[in-house]
Amino acid sequence: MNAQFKKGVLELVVLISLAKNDMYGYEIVSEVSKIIEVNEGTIYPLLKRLTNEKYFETYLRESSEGPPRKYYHLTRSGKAYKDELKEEWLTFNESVTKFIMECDSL
Amino acid sequence: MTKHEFLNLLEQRLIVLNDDERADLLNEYEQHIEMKMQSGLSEEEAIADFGDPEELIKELLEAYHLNTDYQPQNRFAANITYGVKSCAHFLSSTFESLCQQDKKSLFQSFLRLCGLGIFLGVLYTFGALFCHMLHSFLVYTLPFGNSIGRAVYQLIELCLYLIYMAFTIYLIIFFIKRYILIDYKPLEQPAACHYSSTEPAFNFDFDGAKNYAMGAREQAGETIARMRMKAAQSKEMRLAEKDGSEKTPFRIPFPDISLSALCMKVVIWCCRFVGFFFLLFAVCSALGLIAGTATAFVFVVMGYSIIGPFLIVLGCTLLSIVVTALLIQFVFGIGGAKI
Repeated sequence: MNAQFKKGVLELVVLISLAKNDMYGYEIVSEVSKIIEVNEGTIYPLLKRLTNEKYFETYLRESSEGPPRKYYHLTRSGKAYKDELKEEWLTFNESVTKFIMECDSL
Repeated sequence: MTKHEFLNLLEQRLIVLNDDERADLLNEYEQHIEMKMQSGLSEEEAIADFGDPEELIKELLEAYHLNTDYQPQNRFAANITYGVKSCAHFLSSTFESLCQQDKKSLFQSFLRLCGLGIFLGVLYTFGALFCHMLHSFLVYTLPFGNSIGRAVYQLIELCLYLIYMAFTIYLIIFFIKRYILIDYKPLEQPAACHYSSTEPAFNFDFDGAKNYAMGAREQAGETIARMRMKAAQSKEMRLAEKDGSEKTPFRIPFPDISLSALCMKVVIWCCRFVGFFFLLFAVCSALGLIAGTATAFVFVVMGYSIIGPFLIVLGCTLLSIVVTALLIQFVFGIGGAKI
């Protein structure tokens, strides 16, 4: 799949996954991999960046299988950002699909 | 790549980050690798899934808005660069302004310059008279008038020359600013590299540094655009006055960063070179004074009452040792006085 498409949409997919419930890093990676195939290493920089921009909050929770895990939680501004991105994607997707239908009929 | 190799590589390359931040990040990666290994993959495979480590590191640094090619500069170098750049900026603005002026105002400025020159000349004459009187005074009143008096006089004369030169330069700059420069905007000061306490993840004010660089570039772009516009305007005016004569607009060389950095490096190396000779002198005097102290100490022990001179020599010895140490640091760039 085209790398540019993936990069643009990755943020949106991560935000929507976290809107459902809080998850830790590995869990987020597996969730996202179900939707789009992605390089696992790049999820963490993305999570870092979105945390630095205050869209996520993090907290530690004890786990039975080893050291405590860091969970990510979507903040209110994160929710607003997610809605914004979702709108943008849907509009964008709609206009591009419409354009393809009109000019380059399958 | 093994897990340890991978984590060590990240640790090294992310050294610019806050300790806590870096530890946190490495922890998460380690956990992730562990969990993948638990689900059946080998260590190699788990790490291979991360892709190219260099790409990963670049993306991580971008997440902190860090320029991956950043070379941390210390204050002294930044200030010297700023000084050289603003001198160049001042000179180029002067040239530009001179080109903007028409014949009449140029002539006026020239007359003013002559006035300034006469003023400075008068000042110089008075200064020379004063020095002459001072010389005779010192020679006649001090003991060993010819040698000590001349030495003291020359020292004072040197100080007066320096003061006079500084005053002249200041007057010239003031004159240029007042009568010649049009639209002069001094360069922005370099952003202070203070450790911002509100952002626990950051060690350096990279945003400030980036803003300064972008601001300087923008200003350069603006000034160049303005220069081109004015050159075009004055060209049109001149064409309107005389038919057929065309002059190419005056091309003003604009300094770029590499030139000022080069100048700064040259200045520092010259200082180091000079410092090296002072260092030799300091080492010799230190050694000599140590020998003198030892001798004086021997005499004191033997009962001669020369405790006063002994203390003086001891003090001079310590002073020369300290000066030597400082010079060594400066010349060879080790220790605290790193430049």
